Amino acid sequence: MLSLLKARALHSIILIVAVVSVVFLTNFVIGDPVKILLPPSTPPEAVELYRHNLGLDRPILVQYFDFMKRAFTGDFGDSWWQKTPALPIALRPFPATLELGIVAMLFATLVGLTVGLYASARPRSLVDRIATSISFLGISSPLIWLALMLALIFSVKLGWFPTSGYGTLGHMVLPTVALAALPLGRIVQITRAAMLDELAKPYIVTARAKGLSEKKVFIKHALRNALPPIITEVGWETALLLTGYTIIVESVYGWPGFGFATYNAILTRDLPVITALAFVASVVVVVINFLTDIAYWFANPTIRLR
Amino acid sequence: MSSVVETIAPVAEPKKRGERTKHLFSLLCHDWYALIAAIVLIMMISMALFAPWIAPHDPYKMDLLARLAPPIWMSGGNWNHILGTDLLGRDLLTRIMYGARVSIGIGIAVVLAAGMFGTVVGLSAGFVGGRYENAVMRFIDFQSGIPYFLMALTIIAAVGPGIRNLIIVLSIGSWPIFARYSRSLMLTVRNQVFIDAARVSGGSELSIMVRHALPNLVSPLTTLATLELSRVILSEAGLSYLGMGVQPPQPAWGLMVAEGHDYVSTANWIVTFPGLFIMLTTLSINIFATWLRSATDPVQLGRA
Amino acid sequence: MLIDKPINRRSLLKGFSCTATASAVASLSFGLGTPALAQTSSGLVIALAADPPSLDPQAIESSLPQQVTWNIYESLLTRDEQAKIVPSLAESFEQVSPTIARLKLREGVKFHQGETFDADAAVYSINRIIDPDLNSQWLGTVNTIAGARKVDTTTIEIETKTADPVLRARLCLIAMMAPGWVEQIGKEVGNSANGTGPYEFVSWKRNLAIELKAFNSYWGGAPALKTAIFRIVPEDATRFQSIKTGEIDLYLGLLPDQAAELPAYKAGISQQFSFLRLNNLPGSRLTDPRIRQAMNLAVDKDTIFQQLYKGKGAILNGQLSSPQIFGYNPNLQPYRYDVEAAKTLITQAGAHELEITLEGSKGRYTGDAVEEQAIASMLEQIGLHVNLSLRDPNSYNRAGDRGQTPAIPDGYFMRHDNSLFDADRTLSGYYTDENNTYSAYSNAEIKPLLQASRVELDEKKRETMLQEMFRIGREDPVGIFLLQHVDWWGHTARTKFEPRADSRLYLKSITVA
Repeated sequence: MLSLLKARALHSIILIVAVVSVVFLTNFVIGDPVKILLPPSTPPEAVELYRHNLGLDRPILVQYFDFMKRAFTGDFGDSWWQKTPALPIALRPFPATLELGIVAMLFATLVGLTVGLYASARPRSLVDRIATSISFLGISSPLIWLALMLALIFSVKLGWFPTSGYGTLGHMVLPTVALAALPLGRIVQITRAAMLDELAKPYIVTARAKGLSEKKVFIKHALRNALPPIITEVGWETALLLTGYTIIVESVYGWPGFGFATYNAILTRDLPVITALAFVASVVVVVINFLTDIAYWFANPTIRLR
Repeated sequence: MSSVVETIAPVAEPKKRGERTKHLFSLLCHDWYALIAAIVLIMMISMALFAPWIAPHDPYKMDLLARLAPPIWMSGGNWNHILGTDLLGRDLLTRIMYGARVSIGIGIAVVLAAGMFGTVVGLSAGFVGGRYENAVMRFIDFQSGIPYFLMALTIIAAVGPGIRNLIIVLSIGSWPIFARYSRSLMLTVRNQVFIDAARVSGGSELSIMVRHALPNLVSPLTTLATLELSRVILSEAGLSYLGMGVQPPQPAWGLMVAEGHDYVSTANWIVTFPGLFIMLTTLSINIFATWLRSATDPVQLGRA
Repeated sequence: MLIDKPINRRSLLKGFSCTATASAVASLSFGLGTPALAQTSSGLVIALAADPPSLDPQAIESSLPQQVTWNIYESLLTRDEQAKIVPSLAESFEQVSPTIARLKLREGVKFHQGETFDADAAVYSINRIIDPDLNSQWLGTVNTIAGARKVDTTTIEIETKTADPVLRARLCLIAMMAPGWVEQIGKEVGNSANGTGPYEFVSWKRNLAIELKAFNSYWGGAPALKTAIFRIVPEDATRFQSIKTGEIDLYLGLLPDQAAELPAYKAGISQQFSFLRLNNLPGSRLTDPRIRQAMNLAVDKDTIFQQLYKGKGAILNGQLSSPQIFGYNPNLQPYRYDVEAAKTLITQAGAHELEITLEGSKGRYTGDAVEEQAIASMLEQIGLHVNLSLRDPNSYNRAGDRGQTPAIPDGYFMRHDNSLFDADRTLSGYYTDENNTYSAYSNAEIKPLLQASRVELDEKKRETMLQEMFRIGREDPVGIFLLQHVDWWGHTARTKFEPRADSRLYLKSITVA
């Protein structure tokens, strides 16, 4: 058990270091981040001075090792635009994204599970058909289009919700729906499929033959065994949502979160902030993987997992 | 990324080709859902293939005096531009038709590249086993832990946008799925064939594999490829919106949504229609591929 | 095998009630704490397209933060509504020697947090902005200044490295900051603000909103507008919609196509010029001026002007300048639109079927991608083969910089912003390839004239030199001269607002009905 944890921890650290390194080094392929920061009419001597002050005239490997050394102590340097430490800048918008992400995933998971369970209990029924249709719609919608259409219909045409911003429940509705659509669709599908897989297995027949009630069969046996792939999927979608989908949805709705900050940082080539954001993102993924494993454990303590 | 995809189907008895196709076709006609999806898909692909012949205009031709013309059913619309025009006065319907070529084309390119690479890696990992297999699976787990979207954005910002780089980046995101799946398939098949071969005893393992096992992998892999296609088309749309995908003035569905997003409340047809086409295409792909999987997978045949 | 109905209904109900509770709990604990940013009858809500990277007026040069900072900070000299230089924190300006200027400061001015504005503060501010350690983005504009020193509590002297006829214009761009506060706040200086202006900083929620309130002890009198909130709204469609619903009152960056649908809008002339910079440096395909003249003749500027920009602004008359800028040459004519003449010139220069590469931006300026694609198409009409690349801001900046891109593009779409209101900025930036990396143009007649004009203190003489350089740059075209743009401001009917010639947003001049 302990060795498993140790191996896991090591694996996670390597992952985080790798992600941060790749992000850091990639930014040098582009060429010259300094020029982005200065207006075009800046004379060359001023540019060189600026570059020197940022430490960008040293060889790449030197910069890399220096950066990694400091990063281990939590110092990602100062944002080139804001001139204050990068890591707090990367962490600051995170709670806003968490708000959105947690609500969206909770909604997607609970509704998705319920619908998927219902559909698997009554395959080929009308409910099943409807559930399947909804799930297909969810996974087939281009996120940006969905976000814009929701804004167009519910904000512009109907006026039910504000178009953008942050601060009230109303502001949260549209972004949450847009974010939850895809995970919802996938969770419905995988719940349904995993349950159907389990229900077809021989031990279910045995359980029924033994006289167990349908409810017990369904929930205590089939569902419990079907949980691992469902949990995997929920974990996967959560990670994808927090580190990916929010980039688009937050910029459409002006939600001051992590995704929006990521996009801005990449566009303005604020290298310290980009690497700090990459760091936070990979930590998020690691944490979610860890939580997923714990969920496995809770769901079915009898299963020995890899 | 669902484990259902990885549910290993026992290898079916290969029927004669003609028989099987006819059987599939009749199955399709009975499932009206999948039938409609298949028809829509064929329409989209035809539109992409025949665009140069059936499109009413030139997709690059601007007409500044006819900018932002609404579709035919709104006031100000005219038959010259059935779906209206965009910011430069280019006909929307034409650009959607040509856009199909780009968007679907990129999707197919990515799926082919990632599919071939991933399948070869996965099959070899399952076949060879040992430390090679371990290393490959480790690496795939590792890559799956990387926040994909952020990395994709950073890389494209670094190497520059454009179709070629887009295909490369999307392929990088796609190959692990093929590798994982084909490895699982290989493991199952291998066990079965091994047992059979042990009885018969003759011929190398590899030749038995090639002759009996591999043909059966074609349909599940095709299904996977089709599902991935829809995911890739959606990713292209997202990346193009952020300016990291296809570049103007090329017609591509995701890019058209991006170009029009400022006008969503005043000239929404520029955004609505390309997005609608993306959605219809991916929806049909998903429905059809799911149907295909159940139709060719004997275990699921009883249920779907 | 079907399952009894009651169980499933129960689980369904369970599921939904769980979701509802969870969502409610989550929102209650997170979201409702923050009150909605409400408008009051004496307050204004402005939308900004992005969160400013910093509010340090001396560090960042981009225009967006300046919408906020020039209400909080002031400079020694400033411009009035007609863009003429007038006193602000300095009451008088005297050139006592070619390199030394003496300024008498206004008395009785205080910073918002209490410090007095005096010679120490002025000297500190000037020396701060030219300090290499600050890494100010204004360096290119202010680096003619060698330093400042105090003469007495209300008088300072500024020394320039050489005679600098543009010093007064430069002083309009340097914000005065409080030495004590800056030293004490250290790195956080960009996260809040403390100036002498009519509005003081209240709060800044990152990526959300910046709040200002009227400074009632302002030396120019307390302003009428009592509060102002700058909300960050990145999506243009959202900003547009928010004006219609009244959620915001004012924003810069309205799309010309949508202007007619708003309750009110203003198009204020700005000093932003769009042009296609052309490469005439040795080795380029466009060294023959006839080709570049033909390219100018090929563009139907009038149609672009009317269709894309609704006729607001002006068509450039062969120079990157406007009547509001010192050095403007009133005698130049715009290139007419004449495809036949263009084709003739192309043939004479032997440039038929010439392949050219153009680089442009998208989404960086209002209507940029559309304008660029339209022009590329027009150039094709005269027999050129155009390869157009529209780039995101990062690679766009790189592509136009000779220092980073050895392969200089034949044409590079640019919008030149002249907040200095002096032709020197344009001429040294784009009419010569000396001392800058963003131009691709060299002309032997212009270079000596430019050198001389930079140290010529006689206004009349200098003006003649500047006008002459613009004339030369038209005959041997620097690029394709396009349009002078306007600032598109969208606002609600209740907002009484007039745009300024210097594009600044002065809250003190705005009232709400």
